[in-house]
Amino acid sequence: MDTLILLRANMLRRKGTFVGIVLLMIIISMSMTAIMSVKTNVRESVDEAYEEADVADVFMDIPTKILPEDLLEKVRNHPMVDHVEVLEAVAITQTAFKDGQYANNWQVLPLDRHVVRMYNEDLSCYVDSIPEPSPDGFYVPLGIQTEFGCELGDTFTVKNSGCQWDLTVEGYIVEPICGASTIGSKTVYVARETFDKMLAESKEAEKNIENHLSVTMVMIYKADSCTLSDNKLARKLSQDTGLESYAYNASTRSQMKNYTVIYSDIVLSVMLAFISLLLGIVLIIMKHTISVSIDMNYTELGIMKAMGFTVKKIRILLSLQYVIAEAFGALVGTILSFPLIRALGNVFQPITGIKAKTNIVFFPSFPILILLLLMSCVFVFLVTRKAGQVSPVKAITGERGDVYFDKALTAPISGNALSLSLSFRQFTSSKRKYIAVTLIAAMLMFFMLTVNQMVNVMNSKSAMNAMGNMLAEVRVTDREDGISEEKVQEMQKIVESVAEIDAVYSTISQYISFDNVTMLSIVARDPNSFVISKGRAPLYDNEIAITDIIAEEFDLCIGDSVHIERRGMSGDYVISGIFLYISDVGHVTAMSYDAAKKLGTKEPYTVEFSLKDPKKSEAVYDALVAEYGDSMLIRYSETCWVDDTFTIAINAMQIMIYSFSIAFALVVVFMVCTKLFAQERRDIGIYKAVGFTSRKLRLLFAFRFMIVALFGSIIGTVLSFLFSNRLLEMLLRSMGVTTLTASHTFSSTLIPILLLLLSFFCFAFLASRKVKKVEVRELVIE
Amino acid sequence: MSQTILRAKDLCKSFAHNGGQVHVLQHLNVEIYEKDFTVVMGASGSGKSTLLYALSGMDRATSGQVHFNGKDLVKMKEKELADLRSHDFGFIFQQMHLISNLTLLENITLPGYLNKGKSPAEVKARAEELLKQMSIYDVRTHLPSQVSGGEQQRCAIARAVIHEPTLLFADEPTGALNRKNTKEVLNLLTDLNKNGQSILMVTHDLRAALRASRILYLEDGNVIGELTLPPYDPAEEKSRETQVNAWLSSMKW
Repeated sequence: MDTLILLRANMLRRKGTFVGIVLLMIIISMSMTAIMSVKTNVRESVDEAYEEADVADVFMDIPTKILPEDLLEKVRNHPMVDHVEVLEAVAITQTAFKDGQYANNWQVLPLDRHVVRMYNEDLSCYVDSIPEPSPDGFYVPLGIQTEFGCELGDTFTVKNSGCQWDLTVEGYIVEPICGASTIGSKTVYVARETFDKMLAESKEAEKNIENHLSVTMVMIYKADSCTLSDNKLARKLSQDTGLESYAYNASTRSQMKNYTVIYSDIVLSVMLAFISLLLGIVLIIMKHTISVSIDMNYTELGIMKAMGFTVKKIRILLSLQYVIAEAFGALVGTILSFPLIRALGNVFQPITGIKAKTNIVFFPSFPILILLLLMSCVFVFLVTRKAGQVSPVKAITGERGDVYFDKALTAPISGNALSLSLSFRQFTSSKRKYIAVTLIAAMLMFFMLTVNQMVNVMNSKSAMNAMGNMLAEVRVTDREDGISEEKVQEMQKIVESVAEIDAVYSTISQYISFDNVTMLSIVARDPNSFVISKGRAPLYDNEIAITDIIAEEFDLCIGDSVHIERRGMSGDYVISGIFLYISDVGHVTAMSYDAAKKLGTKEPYTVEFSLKDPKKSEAVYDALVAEYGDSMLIRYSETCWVDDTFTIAINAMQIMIYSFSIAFALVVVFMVCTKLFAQERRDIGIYKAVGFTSRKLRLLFAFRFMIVALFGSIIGTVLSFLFSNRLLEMLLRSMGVTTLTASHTFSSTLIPILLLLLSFFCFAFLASRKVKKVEVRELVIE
Repeated sequence: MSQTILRAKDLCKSFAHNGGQVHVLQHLNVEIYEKDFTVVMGASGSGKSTLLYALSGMDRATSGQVHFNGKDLVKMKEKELADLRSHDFGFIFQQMHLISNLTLLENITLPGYLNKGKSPAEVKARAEELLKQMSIYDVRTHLPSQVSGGEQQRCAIARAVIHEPTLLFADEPTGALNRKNTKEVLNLLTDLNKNGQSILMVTHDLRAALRASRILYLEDGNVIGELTLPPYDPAEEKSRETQVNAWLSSMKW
């Protein structure tokens, strides 16, 4: 009972501190619950969509004209296969939408049992039943809407060599396999009647045009008795039948699920790492607050001891106050996470193409919250051990330990810049008081700079290119005939007459069987255009380069030999080096055109021009269109087609991290400032007595906290320069990034520093408003 | 007759207490003269310190007027009061109240820097001069916690006069000091007054009161008696003590 009375009284008396702890815990539990819930919701929604659509375990797209029926039969009869669904689809290699021409990898299918979900008009929910599209209409996955910004009623002209159809968007459907904007290939759906007509026309064209692509989609379902994972099954089937080497697209259920959620996973992981850091900040601030409280309530604690309270009881009392505040904050935060779950889930809908559930997920977020609370209980209890040092005699007689003032590294006050120098002096003469806040400022700065660096990577062409992304402003495609070396040189001259060229990429992407695993292979006419991190470029026709991720997964190193197959042709290749490339989550190989020719690869059909001045891309486009506009597909983009959706998600994450940092700075500054104010009340009276105004004293507080923020920022910046790259490499590895080359820019470093300094300054100025209430007469002893 | 530098008219100060009002100063009228060493005495609770704080603008009177240089302190805004403290008034507290994380030198220079009349170099030179005068030059780089109570109070006096105030207020400046330190502090105040410094001091210490050129006796929030004395001469301390004692007895002290 006595504990309860004291607990209530203490919490009411120091409500400012506890309100601060509650606010911090609300932010943490709200964001942690929301992030974990959204992560689980996105994954579960994807899983459900896969189940509902009865997606196969292994699937591949094979050009119909080279489909080896005997190998397909082998697959059908394989003991690990339950059944195989084979669908003929109409391939789309090019589309025209509004004023643009686009090279595509789309397949058209009739609306079938695999399509079970369709969005309503405003994309807020799914409709109950899916009607048949009209003869000129089609249903597209949400990824197409994200990529093209199309609306219902918009018409696309879809093309394959010798064929062309106009199709109007009549609805957005959930296409779980490749409906995400992160996946290049797309499947669209038309009415059965329309499909039959398109397929007939496509087959007719195929007879006359050599390059006309027709596609057969092979969907393989695992037998119940098969215990292999889908990836292992794909490898086993490739080993046993060789069918996969004929596919131009091949994947497994788990790989496609992974591609669908990869961006949301990365963004949410970064945010979760940030929230963990915020939790660290809460522990630091609690340690600081408890320590200061014990100092300030020395007399009361001594009296309690004199009254018979044991040290253990006092420590439990002190700990309980903070744990109750934390638990209350965690509970309120969990309740408040509902709207955040919905908002965050909506951010990822255009990326995954699937409506995420809006459930609050109690597992694992709730057990983690409880675990964190238990850990903080132990932490708080440990921190309160200082209460054991309180002496009842000293407390009652008013005798206290020596007042600590650090004389080392103090700075003199100057008459010329009195406020600033006095603030600096106040900071340097009691540095220990500010360690916690400095550390917090450093942690916030580290994370803000790390996120900035991530944004810099995503928005910087040079950074992306240095990571092997081959971004260029102008792209020329000729899928029918390919683009010969002579043509590339001709184009280069035209481009050079308009703008300075940074790099030319003449490439083709194809899927190969790499030691029986289907993998993307980038073929470049100039192998030196690959970014090599170890070894050298695959210059010769028996060489191949691999990524770090492949080297690790297959336990390969430079000099090892690998077996490559493609459409019945094969060869052994020596690994010449490790290269960087962000595609297919790092499962990519690279070779020269000469090496690819041995696998039957045709002439590279894409040439890209990276310009030194992106603003000249339209002029380059005009010049190339004038010469090749009739025979080739030419496109340009000043932003090199960097994925807008991901940029939006990254920017949303940046805004959230900045907002939380500022909110945390606000609460922390208020909490620390309130304690300082209580400790320095007498000094404030003295300053007023010698002629300082309240405003000047508040400025002293504000400058002091700005100085603390400056030291914290310097530490955070140094830490960021040392560790941000490593942290990001760890977080982005799932995206295929193993070496991050982005550096801090002047503005991306300066802006968060200024923001933090300004926040600390303003918040301390606001928090010190009670200075006005201090009267000089408080110094009087009557 | 010396010129009046501070005049209080009809001064009242009340405090809320246990749901009622305690009237500490009641329609008090008083004048403080230039170059005088005025001492306010009275029994405990008579309102001595309250009067000092009301006259110095450290606390606002409930009603009435306190005129200094033609301006009413009661109506002054915070900035004007702060200006007054940094330019015209100096204050010595019973408990010294030095800024604990500043050295003695810095404690002294601080109000000097606030006063824009002198350059920082001039302020520092003046502070060093005062440190020597107060015999604490050798400990000028020490923190207050590292010096004795007497040294702290001497530092507080130096801080109060660094900006050469028109009027120096002192609230029981010897209240927390031992006999030896008390004498040193009183000697310093007497010297300052001899050099033309106007002083208004509250005390209940007879030895301190002996230094005054004018003693005011306060009772129930009003001045009920006044004694004028010749300038202090240590050689005549005995007879001065007898005279003051007799007067205080007549005031029922």
